[in-house]
Amino acid sequence: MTETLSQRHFEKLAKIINRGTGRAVQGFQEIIGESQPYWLEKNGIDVNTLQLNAGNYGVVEQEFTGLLNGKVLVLFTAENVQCILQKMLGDEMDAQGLNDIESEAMGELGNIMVNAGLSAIADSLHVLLESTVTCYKQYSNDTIVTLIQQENNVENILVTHVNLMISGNALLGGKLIMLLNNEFNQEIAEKIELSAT
Amino acid sequence: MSKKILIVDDSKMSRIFIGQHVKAAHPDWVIQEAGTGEEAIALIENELPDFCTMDINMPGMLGTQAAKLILEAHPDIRLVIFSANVQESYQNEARELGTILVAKPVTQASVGLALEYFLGA
Repeated sequence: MTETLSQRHFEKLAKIINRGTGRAVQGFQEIIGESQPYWLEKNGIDVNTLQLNAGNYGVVEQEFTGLLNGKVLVLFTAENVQCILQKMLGDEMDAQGLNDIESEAMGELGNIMVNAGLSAIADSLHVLLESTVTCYKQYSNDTIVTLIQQENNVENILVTHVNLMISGNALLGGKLIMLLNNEFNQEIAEKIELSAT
Repeated sequence: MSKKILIVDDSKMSRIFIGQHVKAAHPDWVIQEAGTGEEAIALIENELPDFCTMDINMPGMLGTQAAKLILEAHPDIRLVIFSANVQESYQNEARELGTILVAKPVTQASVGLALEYFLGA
């Protein structure tokens, strides 16, 4: 039997993740500049609603296991990746230097955002979640859509939009995408009900 | 007197940033680095640091496992868990080890918390 999260469950989960990523983004404020997260729910598996229209993206992938299993992707456009790296590493680093360290730096940035969100879920619902080390690659928007469609058993997609605002004017938008499978949905719905009692 | 700090993290970026903040506050400290828990344990067998920062999610053993082994063998080392994985269960584990968990990202403030813990003994 497939389990699709109710709107109430979905909103509760989105709020929990938002709280976690919000804390992480506040931390980035010191490194990158003014930052602000907000969530936008996407209930269902219509990947077209992700609005991936930037061409190429830097994508951090991370899987998590425990009582809940699933996959999380963190996406920034290739252009935004370069801006973030420049801000993190300073103006003195040249383009070649940035390319050399891109995978390392973006992997860590994604790792921090994903783990902040997962930690918030784990603590709110009193479960233990373990995550794999991150994998960073550059993908086209078509490849990302294929990647999501190839994931087994995905019933819901939850998207958190992360805005990193540099010096109050340049807005660097990213997306944290959780692919929620049937088992995840069943467990999370039960845990949310329990936590409400 | 100059101190020695071992930074254990699979992210080179995090090792660089932690090292930069430590050097800014304590330019005379000697910095050592390890990319895994296993590497850290091997390094410590040869050269004992005064302080250690330990990530959790790394290839190989978890940082909390490595921290436990290190602190059992060398209880005088002041060690902090420095991770993005801030689940309560890991915070409790850190407390049981007699240490603290400092949340990433690596910033002047977060490294400051670690330094405060190191020097507060």
